[in-house]
Amino acid sequence: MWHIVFGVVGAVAIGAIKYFRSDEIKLVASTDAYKPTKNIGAIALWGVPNSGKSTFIKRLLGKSPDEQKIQTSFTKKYPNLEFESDGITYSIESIYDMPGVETRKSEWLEHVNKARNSIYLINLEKFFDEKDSYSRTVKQHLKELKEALDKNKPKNLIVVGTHLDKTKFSSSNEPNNLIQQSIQFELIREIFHSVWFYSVNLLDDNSCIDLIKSIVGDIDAKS
Amino acid sequence: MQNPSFCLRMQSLDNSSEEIYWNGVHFFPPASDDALRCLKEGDFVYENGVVWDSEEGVEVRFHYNGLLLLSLTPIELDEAGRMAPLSITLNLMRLSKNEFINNLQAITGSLGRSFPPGFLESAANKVTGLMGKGYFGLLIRFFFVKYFGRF
Repeated sequence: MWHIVFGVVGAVAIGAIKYFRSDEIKLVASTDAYKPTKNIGAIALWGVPNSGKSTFIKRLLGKSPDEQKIQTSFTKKYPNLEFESDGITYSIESIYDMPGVETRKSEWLEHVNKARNSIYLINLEKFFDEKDSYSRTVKQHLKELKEALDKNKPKNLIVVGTHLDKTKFSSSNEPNNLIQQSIQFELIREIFHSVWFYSVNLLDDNSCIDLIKSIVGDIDAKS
Repeated sequence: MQNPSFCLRMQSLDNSSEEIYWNGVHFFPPASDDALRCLKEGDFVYENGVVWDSEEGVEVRFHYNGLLLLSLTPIELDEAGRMAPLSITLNLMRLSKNEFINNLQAITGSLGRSFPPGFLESAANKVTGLMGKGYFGLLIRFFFVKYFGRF
């Protein structure tokens, strides 16, 4: 009889010690790891192929671009993507890396309807090449984006011009202003009278850091 | 003749956001029901399938329902210098080995993409190894790869 009583008491004591110890460890661990995280909602990301969608996401993840790039064939979903900017941790509820092909457009617009933010990437090298039909495609995308945004409550829209290094604006100190004053930019202004616009060279670390800082700054200021 | 068990999808090399769909014999428009089915089936295997075999330039994914996704990377790069893989979706339960091999060999002639010598034969062997296994055979392989990383 006494064996059973001692056994039960012993088991309860060991269990209690383990419980309190593990709780103590959890408390210490959570204090050490605690960092304020700002949730900036979901981001609907899009752009014509080779506008820099995959590289942009890689940059958010803190990775360098791949040396040998590859066309994106399928949608890669990144739920709860966390990244740091200026010592603050930000969390994106979801961001998709989608192939920028026409057959994926409805998938993108669906994401626009759900997401709090939209980022549209424009390959500046092609945008400023007047011989190319690229501008027409961008215009069509932006029109459809506007229609989708107008149906919803106010959301954040950011247009990012990529491949800055391959344009005549690359050596300028204020490329964003110069691009926005250009004739080609009227195409964007016809659709969106006011829009947050940034230009970036996604292959350059500092350029990416500035871009991400500007984007979270804008989103923070509006929220 | 149209074969609903085989579909190839690839992006244009000029990055114009256009895609090419081909069923082994005919091209079909990206806005068609066949193209949509091809896209959805490919997405399904990409998200829910397991990687059966993978090496430089070729990846085989499959699902126990019989759908298989074969990604092949041809020698040609897009205008930005990126690799431009082709995505082939096929149904292991419905497509015969001969049909598959014929379609694969027709890629170079019909689509103007090329591969290193022996590449397509090697890719074909990876896929035909999964053909004729039946539902139960695929299910066992799927289970082992998903939970143990290999069969």
